[in-house]
Amino acid sequence: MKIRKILLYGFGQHENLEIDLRPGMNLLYGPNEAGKTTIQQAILHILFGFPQKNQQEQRYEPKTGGKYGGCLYIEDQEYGNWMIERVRGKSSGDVSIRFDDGRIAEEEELKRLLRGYDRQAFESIFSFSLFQLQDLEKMDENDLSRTLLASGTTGLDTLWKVEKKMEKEMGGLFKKSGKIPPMNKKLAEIRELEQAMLKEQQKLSTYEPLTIRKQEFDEQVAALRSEEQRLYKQSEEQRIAMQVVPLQQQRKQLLEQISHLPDDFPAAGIRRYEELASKQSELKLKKSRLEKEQAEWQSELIDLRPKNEQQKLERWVAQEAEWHRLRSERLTAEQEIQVLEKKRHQFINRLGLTDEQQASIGTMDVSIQRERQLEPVLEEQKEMDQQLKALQRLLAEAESERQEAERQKERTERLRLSDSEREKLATWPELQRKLTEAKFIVSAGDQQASNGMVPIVILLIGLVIGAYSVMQQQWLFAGLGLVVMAVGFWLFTQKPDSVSDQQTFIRDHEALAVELERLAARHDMQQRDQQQVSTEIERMDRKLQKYAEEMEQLYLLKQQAVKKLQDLLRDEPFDPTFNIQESFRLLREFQDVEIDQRTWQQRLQTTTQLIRSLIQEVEEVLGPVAEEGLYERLRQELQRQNSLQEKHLNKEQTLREIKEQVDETQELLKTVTAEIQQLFEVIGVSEKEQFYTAYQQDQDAQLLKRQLKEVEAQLSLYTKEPLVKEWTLPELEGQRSETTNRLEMIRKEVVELVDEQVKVGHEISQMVASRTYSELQQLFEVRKAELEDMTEQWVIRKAVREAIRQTMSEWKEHQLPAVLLQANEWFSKLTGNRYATLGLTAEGYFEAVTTEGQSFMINELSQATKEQAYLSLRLALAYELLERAPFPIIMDDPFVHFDNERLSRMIEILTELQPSHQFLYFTCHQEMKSKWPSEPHTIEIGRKVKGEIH
Amino acid sequence: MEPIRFLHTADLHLDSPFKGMAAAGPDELARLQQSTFAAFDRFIAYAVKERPDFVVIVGDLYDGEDRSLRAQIRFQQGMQQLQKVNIPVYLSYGNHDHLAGRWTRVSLPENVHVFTEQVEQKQLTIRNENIYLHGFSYPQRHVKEPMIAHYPNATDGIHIGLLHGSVAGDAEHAVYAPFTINELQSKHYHYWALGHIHKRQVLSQEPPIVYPGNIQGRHRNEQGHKGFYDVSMTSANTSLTFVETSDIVFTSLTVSCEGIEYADDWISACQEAVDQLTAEIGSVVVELVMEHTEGLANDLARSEVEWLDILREQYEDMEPFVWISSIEWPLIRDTIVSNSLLEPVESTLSGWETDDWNDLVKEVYSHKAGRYLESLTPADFERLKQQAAALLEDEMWKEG
Repeated sequence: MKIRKILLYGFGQHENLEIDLRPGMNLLYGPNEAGKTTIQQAILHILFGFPQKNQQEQRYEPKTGGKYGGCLYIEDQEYGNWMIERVRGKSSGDVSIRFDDGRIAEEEELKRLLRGYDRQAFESIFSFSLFQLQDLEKMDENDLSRTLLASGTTGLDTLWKVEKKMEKEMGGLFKKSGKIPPMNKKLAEIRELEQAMLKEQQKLSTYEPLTIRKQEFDEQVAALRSEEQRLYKQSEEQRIAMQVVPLQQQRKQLLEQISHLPDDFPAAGIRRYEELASKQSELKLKKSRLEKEQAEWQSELIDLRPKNEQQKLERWVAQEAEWHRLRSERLTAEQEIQVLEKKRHQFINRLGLTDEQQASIGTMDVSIQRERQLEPVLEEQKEMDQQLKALQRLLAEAESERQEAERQKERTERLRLSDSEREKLATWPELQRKLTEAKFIVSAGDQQASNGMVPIVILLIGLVIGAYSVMQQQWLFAGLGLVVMAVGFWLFTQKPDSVSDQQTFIRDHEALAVELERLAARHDMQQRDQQQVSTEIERMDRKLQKYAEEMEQLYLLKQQAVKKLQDLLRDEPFDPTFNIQESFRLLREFQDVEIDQRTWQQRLQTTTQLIRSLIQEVEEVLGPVAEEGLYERLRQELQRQNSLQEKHLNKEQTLREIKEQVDETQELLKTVTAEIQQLFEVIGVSEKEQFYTAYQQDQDAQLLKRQLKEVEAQLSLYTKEPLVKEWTLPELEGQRSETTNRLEMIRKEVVELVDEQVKVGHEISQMVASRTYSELQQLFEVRKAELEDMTEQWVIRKAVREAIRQTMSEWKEHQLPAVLLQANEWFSKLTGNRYATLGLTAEGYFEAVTTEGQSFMINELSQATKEQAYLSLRLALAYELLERAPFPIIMDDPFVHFDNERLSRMIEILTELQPSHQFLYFTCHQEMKSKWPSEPHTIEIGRKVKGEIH
Repeated sequence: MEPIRFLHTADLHLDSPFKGMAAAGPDELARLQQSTFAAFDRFIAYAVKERPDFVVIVGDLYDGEDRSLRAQIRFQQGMQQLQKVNIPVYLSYGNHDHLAGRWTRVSLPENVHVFTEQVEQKQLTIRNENIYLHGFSYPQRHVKEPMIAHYPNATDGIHIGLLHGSVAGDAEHAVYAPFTINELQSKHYHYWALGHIHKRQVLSQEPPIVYPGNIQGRHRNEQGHKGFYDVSMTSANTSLTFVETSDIVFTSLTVSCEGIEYADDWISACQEAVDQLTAEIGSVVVELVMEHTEGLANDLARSEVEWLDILREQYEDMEPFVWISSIEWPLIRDTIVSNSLLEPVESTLSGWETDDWNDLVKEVYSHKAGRYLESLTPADFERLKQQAAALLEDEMWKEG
């Protein structure tokens, strides 16, 4: 695999740089800052990707910001020639690969083309610089050896890591004598489970013994139960026997007793006797009671009145209504009298009567005729009075009128003018004339003044006429005009001077004129009034005289009328003239009342007498009695008498009945006594006591028989057949208690056994239902499976670890020696055979051994020797790896520390390698070129790159 | 002639623990343990319903000496149920429940006839037909002697042989009472009721030589439907009907991840596949095998344990019961890791022989822990080698 051409589009300072390379040595020369390292980095970048932006390595992006990237043309024996281009894109750059045959490859294939090498691995073998060599100085033994070894077998580190990890994980899973790792724990768990299972198994193994025991219990219980049954039966028998034996004995006794007692008492004898006896005594008692009753009845008294009195009572009672009528009549009369009395008083009051008048009024004539006689007289008198009154009124009116006229006259007198006034009034006609004249003049002046414009107008007219006529040469008219003008002028100047004088005059006398005028009017009026009043007074005086005459006449007439009335009424006790009709009515009514009163007085007297006579009669019979309660008393008495009558009749009847009963009782008594006697005769006794004794004996016999019957009934219950064995009670007693005791013991035993039986049964059923054992078994299996799984994990880890270890040791033992052999050869050659070998110590460290056999640790060597050892090893690796990784070797001035001799030996080695390997040697030393025996392909890199640049 | 009808079952392994159920929780375990009983109950229920003339059980009723009392009681109860409907049972004990065991024995009802440790003949008459059953029970755990030699040749009537054992030369199973098919055929029996091998198989048709398999799978190597045979037999013809009993089926399921990149899609793809499976066969313990995983995001394909847990969570407390026992991922050859490093290590790895492997695992297997571990076979080593290689690549990828 060789690089044929480098094409940089833009990389660091390089832009559109094209470098053709050849197989074998390519010397790339350039002074400092020519961009040698940039090209070296460009190759790596293009092959393995641009470094990430955050990585330490430079990306060499052009500062100008132009195109970034480039491409390499590769000659490849194995896969065919190909070209790789990497440009800006994703952070590692966008890559495209194209084979010569036009096939395009993906990034994935690049890995294959690069033989699985990454940049790190590549650099560790195929690319090295002075710096890397210089870095060796800083490394210690361990690092150095690791670096050397690692650079030989790339990725070995990874294997180491995996191996360590596997080892750790194994330890995490299992430790031979550990307790904590999961497998050990699981194991412990399994063993525990095993123990638990064993225990459970032992527990279950008691099942059989338990079942046997249970069976034993069952049998024992059954045996005891049957024994119990038997004993129970026996005890029952004994119990019955104990009850039967006394019964039998009793029966015997009873039979004997019965045989001694008589048996002839009549059936129900005692009952019959007792019935009769009680009847007898009852009858006796009844008889005596009846007799006593008879005596009582006879001794009883009854208070009854004689017949005539009773009749009287009855009559009175029959007259009750009459009695009540009388009483009410009396009451009415009394009330009526009272009412009338009240009325009479009212009339007396109304009429204002004295006691005398009262007495006499009764005889007074109050007829209608009399009334009519009085009426017209009164009427006449009344009319006269009215006329008189009217006249008086007229007279009074006339009088007042006359007074008024008098007063009027006085007033008129007061209005009469004074003398001065009268004089003044005498001047009035003169003045009046003067004033009138003056006023006329004034009024004419006013007329002129109001035509003030007229003279001017006339003047103008004159002017016009004059002018016109002059113009027309009508001279006549001119003269007319002149006239008119003169008139006008005159009129204009002729404004009266006398008018103003007149006006002044008027003004001065106007007030006086008015006053005088008024005075004249007043004077006339007063004269007129005075005359009028005098006439009026005269008329009045005449009138007054006439009224007075009339009055006198009337008065006389009246006097006559009064006298006439007085004559009419002279004999009357009461003057009815005032409101004659009413007076007469009242008087008439008063008389009526008095008459009524007298009538009622009479009636009252009659009724009172009747009542008193009745009471007297009654009192004769009943003794003193109040009027009020009279009839009640009468009724009571009558009722009492009636009831007494009835009682009397009853008593007589009762007495008759009692007698009959007494006879009957006597008869019955006789019969009963006979019957008793009969009963006594039956059993041959005469006395009651004897009869009873006989009865008692019979009763005893009856009882015994009943007892016997009962006993026999009880006996029949127990056995159908009579008991065979003859028992005695104490015997029985003993046997029975024995049986009972045994039975009780057996029962207790049974209870205990059953308890045991149940317990065992429960245990067994629990055991049967228990899942513990199978659960443990299953869990045991699960844990085993889990252990197995873990073991598997452990085993594969161990397999991986072992495989890695074996491979590594294989490398150390076989592959590495081949590399070392080559390295030795070159190292020895480089050092001029000073050092014979470069080898690994037992601890895995590198050491250099001199031809004399002296060994040095790497860091004990000089810088250049160290570099030479390193270079030898690297080249040997590249050499050995040719098949697997035929990459070009890129070197950046690594030989600067070499002396000429060693340099030429180095070049010899490189030359030796040139046929198989391509070299890219970057240097800033121009003379390097000349060190080669045959001049190598040289490319100069500079500001303007010379050489094979197209 | 009405056919003689009987049920042939073997290897009940009642209440036996399930193997390889690492990481299963108590709920799952309880559910699993219930399954052998459930299968047995199905068997009994079938018998009670179908009323065969008799039932034969050819060994390994229980899992071993450490059988649980519960298992025995359940078996006893099952037998009592058969007694109630008058079905006689003929049974022999096998290597797992041999007669020398020191365990408690639960008494069995009178309808159960147990073969002794000597080959013996039991006779019964059904509808005037004489039927002879031949068999024996294991006196101890190992019977290496070919017991077939003690079986008599058939005479008149119907002969049925009960034999708990394996074909001679079968390397896969420990050899118990070995026999050859020829030997069996030479006895001229009408039916050979075999037991011991858990995989259902008919070794021969004339006469039928039958392993009914066990009634419930118990680990990943006992996959598929399990049950027993319902046999109808006339003088001319014998027909077998397989009746399934397994409560939970051990199986594996391939899930294609084609076109899937992200976890949620992957989970739903797995769920869909599992749901389809359970819809078909009910409760399962399933191994998921992934294929076409190239499209998957890297982290998904590489953190298997977490994804297994996540998937399991989806089926917690579900019915039908689902337990995902493992997820198998295809090995990923990663081009990223440089071959220059991997190749030599891997070639070292594949260069190892069985002895090398044994040396490698000695540290654990010769430790006291080894007692609880199944010994490793060359097949195991091959598997381990692949796993180690995968781990190496993975680790190198992570480190590199």
